[in-house]
Amino acid sequence: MITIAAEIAVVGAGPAGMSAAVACAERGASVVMLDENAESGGQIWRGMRDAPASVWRARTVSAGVRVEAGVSVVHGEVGGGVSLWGVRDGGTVRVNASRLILATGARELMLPFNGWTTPGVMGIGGLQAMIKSGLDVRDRRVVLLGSGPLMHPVAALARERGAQVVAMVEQASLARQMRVLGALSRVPTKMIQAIELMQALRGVPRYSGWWPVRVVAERGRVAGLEITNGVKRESFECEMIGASFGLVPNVRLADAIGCERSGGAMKTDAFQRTSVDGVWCAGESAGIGGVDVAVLEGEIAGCAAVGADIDRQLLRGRDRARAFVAALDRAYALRPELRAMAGGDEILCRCEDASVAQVRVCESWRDAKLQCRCGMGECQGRTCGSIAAYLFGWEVRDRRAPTAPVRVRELMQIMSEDPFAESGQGEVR
Amino acid sequence: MNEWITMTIDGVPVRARRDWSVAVAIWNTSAVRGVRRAVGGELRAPVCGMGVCYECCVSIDGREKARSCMVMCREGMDVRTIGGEV
Repeated sequence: MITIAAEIAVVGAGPAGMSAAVACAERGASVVMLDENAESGGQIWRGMRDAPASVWRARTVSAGVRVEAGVSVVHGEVGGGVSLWGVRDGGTVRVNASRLILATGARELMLPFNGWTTPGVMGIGGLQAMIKSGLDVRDRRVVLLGSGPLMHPVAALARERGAQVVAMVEQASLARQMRVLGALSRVPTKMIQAIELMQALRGVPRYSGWWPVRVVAERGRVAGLEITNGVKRESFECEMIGASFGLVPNVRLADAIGCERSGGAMKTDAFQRTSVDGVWCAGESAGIGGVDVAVLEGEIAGCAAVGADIDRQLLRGRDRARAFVAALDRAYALRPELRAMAGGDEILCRCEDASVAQVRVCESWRDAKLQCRCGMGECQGRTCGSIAAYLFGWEVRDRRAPTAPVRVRELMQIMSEDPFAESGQGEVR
Repeated sequence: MNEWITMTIDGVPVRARRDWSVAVAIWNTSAVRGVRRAVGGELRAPVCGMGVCYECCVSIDGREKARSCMVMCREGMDVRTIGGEV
């Protein structure tokens, strides 16, 4: 086990985490920033070599932030100090800090439909992450499906890398999507981005108010897709499908620490403070807001965590950016038909192969875990928990450690530690 | 630095780039295909691409259930999927 001591611990090295870490370190605090990925940047700047990712990475270095990559944080405790435990390459990492900034980001909301577990069906962000990690999509036929603004840049990326984007299928009606225009017109930079995307996606067939019926599988992989608008049906041939229905904040670690939630996100005040003393939260985990909000919230959280003055401009900028995202939210509200896409044998929990029908008859998330092991597998309910919350309106909250799968040997190392035996400042050993 | 390395996937030597994730290397060097079997026997493949879903788990250098989307390719890496069965 390696032990790291710092004044501030930041979990998550995406835009919010980097912005928070830099804000603290540039004001003289010692900062350690942990992230599960091999490189800082989060999902949005994954694999990006140029600005703004390169600029932020350089700033974390010059500010003296200690970056610990490849560390999955599996437990955290707060009270008289902050203790975090993580695993990396079979070893364990322990962090002792005075204050904590959570910037754990978001994941995609997947929804079950017939054939959604077929190899070649990914998330929209999943496809994006795979392409950014080198996936060759040249001449592959790709359908993007589901809901939300993420579909557009991912379709443009796939096309730029040589894929044939066969269709973009958005569940929200065109009339609803048009509501974004008002908000767009108030934010010129977003308007320019939207126009550029429209140009990049010229000629791609668009479907608004349509949703999936089934995936056509051949030889154990995607061969096509059928969609409907409730009246008609259409089908496509394709090799890859990016399908997701929006983003959900990652709050598992915050739940374990005992932070209150507001909706699906962590509850924060105007200064990004959570309900737990000494813990701040910034970025998607504090409410889906996109990269502009994340960077501003990170800086606010960082300033607050080191007790520095917070520029009023920052707060106003964040609130304006949030207002834009709220407009997006309304434009992409999910239609009730999506709850009926899968009603029977379709898998709901991919780790334990619990079906929609099996989970549907349960009374609660806890009951589903007990009755059919839903949410009990490797991913610990990260995928099916959000699905169950959406489909059945359940409260899905898991407070118990570890927050991610850990080998028994690593868990024993963690458990043998008295959480606060050596908290406070110390040298790195 | 040479960006290309040699690794084995299901015993077969393949060329891959250092900046590819293992999940990407599996698909780039064969096809869109299943990499693991679910508890019910279904073929499964990468979904989230960011370490959330565990659908891309394979054996990497003897370490079972490693998330292939979270590990970058390295020279001499030994990756085992259910590939032989497909």
